[in-house]
Amino acid sequence: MSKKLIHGLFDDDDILMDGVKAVRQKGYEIDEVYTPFPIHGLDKAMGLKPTRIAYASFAYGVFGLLFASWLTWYMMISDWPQNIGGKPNQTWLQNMLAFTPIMFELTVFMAAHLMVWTYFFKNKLYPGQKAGNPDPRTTDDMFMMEFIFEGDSTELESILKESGAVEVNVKEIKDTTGNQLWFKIPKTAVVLIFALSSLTSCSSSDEPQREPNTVYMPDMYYSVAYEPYSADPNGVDGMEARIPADNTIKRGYVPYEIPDTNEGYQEALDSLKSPIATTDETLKKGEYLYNIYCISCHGINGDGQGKLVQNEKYLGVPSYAPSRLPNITEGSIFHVETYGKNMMGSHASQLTSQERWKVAQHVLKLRSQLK
Amino acid sequence: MYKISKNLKTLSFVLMAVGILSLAFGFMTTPSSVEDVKHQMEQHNNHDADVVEHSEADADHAVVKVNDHHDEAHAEHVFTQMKNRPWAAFYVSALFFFFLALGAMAFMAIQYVAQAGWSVVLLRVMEAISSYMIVGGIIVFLILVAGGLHMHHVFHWMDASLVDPLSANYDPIIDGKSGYLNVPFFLIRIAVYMAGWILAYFLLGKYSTEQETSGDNKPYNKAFKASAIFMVFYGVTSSTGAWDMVMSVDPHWFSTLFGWYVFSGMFVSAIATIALVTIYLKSQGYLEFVNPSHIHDLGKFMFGLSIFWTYLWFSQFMLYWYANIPEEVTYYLARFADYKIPFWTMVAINFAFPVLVLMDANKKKFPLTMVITGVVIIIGHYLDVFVMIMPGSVGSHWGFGIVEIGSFLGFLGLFIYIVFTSLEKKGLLAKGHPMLKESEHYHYYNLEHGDDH
Amino acid sequence: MHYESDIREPLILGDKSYGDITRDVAAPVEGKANKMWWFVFSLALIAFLWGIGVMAYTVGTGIGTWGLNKTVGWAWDITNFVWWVGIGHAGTLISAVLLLFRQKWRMSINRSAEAMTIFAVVQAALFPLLHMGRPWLAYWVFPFPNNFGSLWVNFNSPLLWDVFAISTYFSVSTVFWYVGLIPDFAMIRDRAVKPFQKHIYKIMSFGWSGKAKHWQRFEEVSLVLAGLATPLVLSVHTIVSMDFATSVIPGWHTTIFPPYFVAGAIFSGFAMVQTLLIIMRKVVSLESYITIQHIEMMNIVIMLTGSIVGVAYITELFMAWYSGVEYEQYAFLNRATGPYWWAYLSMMTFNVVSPQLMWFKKLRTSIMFTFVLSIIVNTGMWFERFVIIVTSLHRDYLPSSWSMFSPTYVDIGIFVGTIGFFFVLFLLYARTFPVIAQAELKTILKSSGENQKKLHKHE
Repeated sequence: MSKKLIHGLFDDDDILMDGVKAVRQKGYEIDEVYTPFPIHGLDKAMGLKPTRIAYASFAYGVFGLLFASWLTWYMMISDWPQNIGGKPNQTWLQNMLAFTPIMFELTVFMAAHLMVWTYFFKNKLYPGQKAGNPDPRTTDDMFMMEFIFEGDSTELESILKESGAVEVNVKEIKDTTGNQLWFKIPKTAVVLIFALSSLTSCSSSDEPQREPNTVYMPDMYYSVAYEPYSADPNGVDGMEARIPADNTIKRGYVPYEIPDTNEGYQEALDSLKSPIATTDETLKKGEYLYNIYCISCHGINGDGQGKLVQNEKYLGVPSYAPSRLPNITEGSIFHVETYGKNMMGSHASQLTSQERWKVAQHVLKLRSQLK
Repeated sequence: MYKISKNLKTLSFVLMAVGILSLAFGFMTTPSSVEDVKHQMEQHNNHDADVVEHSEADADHAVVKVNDHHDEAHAEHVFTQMKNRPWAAFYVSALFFFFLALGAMAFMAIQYVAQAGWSVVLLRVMEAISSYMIVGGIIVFLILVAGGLHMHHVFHWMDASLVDPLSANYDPIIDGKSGYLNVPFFLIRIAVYMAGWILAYFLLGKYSTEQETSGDNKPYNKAFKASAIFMVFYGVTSSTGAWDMVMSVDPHWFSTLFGWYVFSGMFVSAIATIALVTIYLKSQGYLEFVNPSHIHDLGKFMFGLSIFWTYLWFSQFMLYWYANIPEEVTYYLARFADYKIPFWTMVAINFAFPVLVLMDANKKKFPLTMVITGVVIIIGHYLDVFVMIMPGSVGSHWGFGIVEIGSFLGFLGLFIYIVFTSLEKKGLLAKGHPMLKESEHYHYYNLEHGDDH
Repeated sequence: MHYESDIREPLILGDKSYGDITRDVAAPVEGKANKMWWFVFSLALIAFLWGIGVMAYTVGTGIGTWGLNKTVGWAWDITNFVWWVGIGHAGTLISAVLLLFRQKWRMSINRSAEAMTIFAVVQAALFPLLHMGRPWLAYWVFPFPNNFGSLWVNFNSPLLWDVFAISTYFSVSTVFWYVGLIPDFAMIRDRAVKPFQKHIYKIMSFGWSGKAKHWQRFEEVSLVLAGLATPLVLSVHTIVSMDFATSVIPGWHTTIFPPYFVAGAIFSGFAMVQTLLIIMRKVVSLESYITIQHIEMMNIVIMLTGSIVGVAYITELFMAWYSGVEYEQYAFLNRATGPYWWAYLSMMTFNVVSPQLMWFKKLRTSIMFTFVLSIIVNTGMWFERFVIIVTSLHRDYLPSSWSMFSPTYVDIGIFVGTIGFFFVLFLLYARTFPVIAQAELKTILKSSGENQKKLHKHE
């Protein structure tokens, strides 16, 4: 016996609900209901299970949170720690406040997008999919119950009519050639993607620019007033800036007169002494600063095995150990902190001279613990 | 009509008695003179060298053993802080319970202004909780008056010598604020806030009683208008009140967000209180018209507002951490120095607990989950008020002992007594309310009530 | 099933049936554009083309074409950026927050408000892109391996948070919008008679069928997306505010910025919704769905958020004095009495004073007044960002660096261009998209339709 497709059409959602209940009471299973809008309670009346898509979304959100935590940890702590704003930068937890926005955004991003993808996937919705409703009126103002029925359907038809269906259609199902590919990429999409990718792959030429660009912030370059170090016909010595009075220093600055030369280095090594005594307090401060400004290269023990060295971002950072650097003193350490040496840059703009002395104390302490 | 049960009444009296006793104990055990403090400190020094650690943590104490004069000043400072402790404990609890009532009042006014339909069946509960504002407000006000009379120094800036340029204690920053922070103006302001808030409570209560018998919606419309005006008043005074009653405890410190932060805390704990009272009444067989959807909605508010509170906490904390400006971070440094445990505990339980427990839609309708979360929220926000008040008033000499717990329990007793006796005065259902039927029929669409179908 | 109190006004006027809603919503898509539409569209297109011209000039020549200088290094561009992002807040707010609060009046306005959101965020994103100077390297803001440039991106920087926040916001809003659009596209697909139109809407509707299981998932997805979008919408303007608030610049570094920026964003977003919908309801005859009550509700939101913004302004001003920090005090004194006093005054009048007029029922139910006020509010909110950005920067710590900002024609051109672009997008949308979420609207017809409510009353 062939199968029949029975469609009961209703013109009101409340009548439909009563109809669904009536049909189910008589022991018929409804195969599908098509409605133009969501009807609260219809899923329960039809005996559908509640959807679990919200739990999926929760799982995606957890994934997003973990992913963001890993991303920030890997990039900012593990692979290439950076000293930002003089804040401790070696542990993730200490910087977590700054990562919280990213963690939040990625949680929402994953929870929302992956959930919607799941929704499309489960509903088999994609561009190019054929309209799934058998009657176009079900997106307008008609509600339809669908049965795929085998056998005598007169009772069902009469139940439908009794419960207020405005139309009952019965159709024989003839062709049931299955195995249709449910997912088919439309040709237009392929063409579009191809066109887009060929457009974007046009690279710019390597020709050098003939004219310089317009200057960004012109009055930074071309000041109305005389530039501090420019010529000035009205100035003393024909110069805009005045030479400061002898022995002038800027406020709070402690002059450091040893020059940045090999001789200077030797002089600092031999004769420069710290003006501050080593106490527990200065050592503690020195350690604190070291662990922000030096640790990434020199390592927590001063063995030259900081994260950047371990990750091979920089090489050749020496250990402070007497065996490796037999000839260093607090004076030479201070000198190097002030001017930098080889790959190492100057830290004079980041640390005051007092702070540099304290760091030097800590470096010596580390050195004494190394072999 | 509701009748308070004997057990509850006894419980409230016992709690009040515990409160009074522990407060008396607190006042009796504070040192009575500077000499006592010195004696205690000496003993303390002999026992161990803890003071040195304190001296690093607390800038005020940095000079413990330098010389006699400093010793003297330090002892006096410690004496003030120790004497503040029972007062501060008393004030924290008084303020916290007052905030519960004020928050419930704000919630009720919002229900009117927003023309919310679902919550009408809870109206009487909100009214009863707000009724605590009268007694609670008077107690808070009296504590502030006592500060003005120099009976305690919870409010450091009330000390007249700080604004006297000739005094050794002169503090130019506090003097700069003295146009706003001075005792008479301060007390007048508080009196105005309290009067406004309590007046609004009386009006809304009156209109809702009138609405029961009135045939038309006139009282309801009046209540709507009164609520709108109250919300404007409250919108300003909740901020200024928070600056006055809470932020000025740390008179050097400032934060523009502070008022809204305090508001969010009081609001979420008030809603938790509404939920707890509702669930209690329902368990006693009252409020038969309250269904799981109503409880579910209160749960949603607790969930959402806990996140909102965390959002504001984060905004304030993160911005100060990030910019790291000395006059701003002192506030958090003081909390990190001595209050690390209560500080992080309260952040964790005010955020993580409600969010994790209440995220699942179905969990919110279960009375047990709601009761546990409600209690946790209330404890968490009590701790929040605790960490806001204590560092500025008692510094490192805080504790969580008899006087703190006792005063919390005492106010809890008073709160229970007042709220439940005022429930007796009116019917539990706001009859005649134009949205009542909507509220009774309220059923959140994807929630199983269990009793229907 | 669902009961609604008699004192609530109907949200759908007249005697409408489900079929009427279908026809009314499909009408603008199926019909032909009128002259008015073509006129406004040409105007917007001209502005847009002009904008493209000056943008091309900026990219080709350099950012020196703008009016920035070394003291005021952020000005016009960031003002416009924040302004557009702010406008882009109302849509998701209406669809997400009002959904959570079960405000049924959102249903006839959420579709257009979300469209507005998406189009506004597109405008906003243009400004940082152009400010980069070399927009073709814009992908460097994403966390690529460091052999692309130097190091990784800096996750401690609020500017990077912005990248994540705005791209998440834009993409999630779009998806939220589209999920809601699918059933409505299906409705147009099923009505369409022209083959081309039918084909296009077939692609757009993803083969929607309206099965019960699909609707069940649809509702759950909408609800979860609303729950996610609500904190998201807060986070976006919060993070925009942190671009300023994490700094140590007086007038920028203040803790109230996050919630106050959010309130300001909602304020200006709703004003923009008013501007657009007041025109649209007339042009495409949707007066039965976007009623005076909808306009009144939005006006109340404008009044509320305007007042919140007002409280925040006054809080900032008071705290500047109360803090005792002289730099803060100067920054605020300078805002009110310095050379940009007119901007401050406009901001105060437009944003704080003018919304208070909405207390009068007569004014907030007047369409003409609402329209004018919505434009005033958006002007005021533009000035707010201008005041925050330019006045805080133009007085540096060193008086020798004090400076003023004046925009060049390129600055102004880009701004006008984005307004043109925005309207081009919105006008195209109004002709081709179902501008009302008709499927959702049908769910409230029985409880909130005018005729249906009358019948209930007589029962």
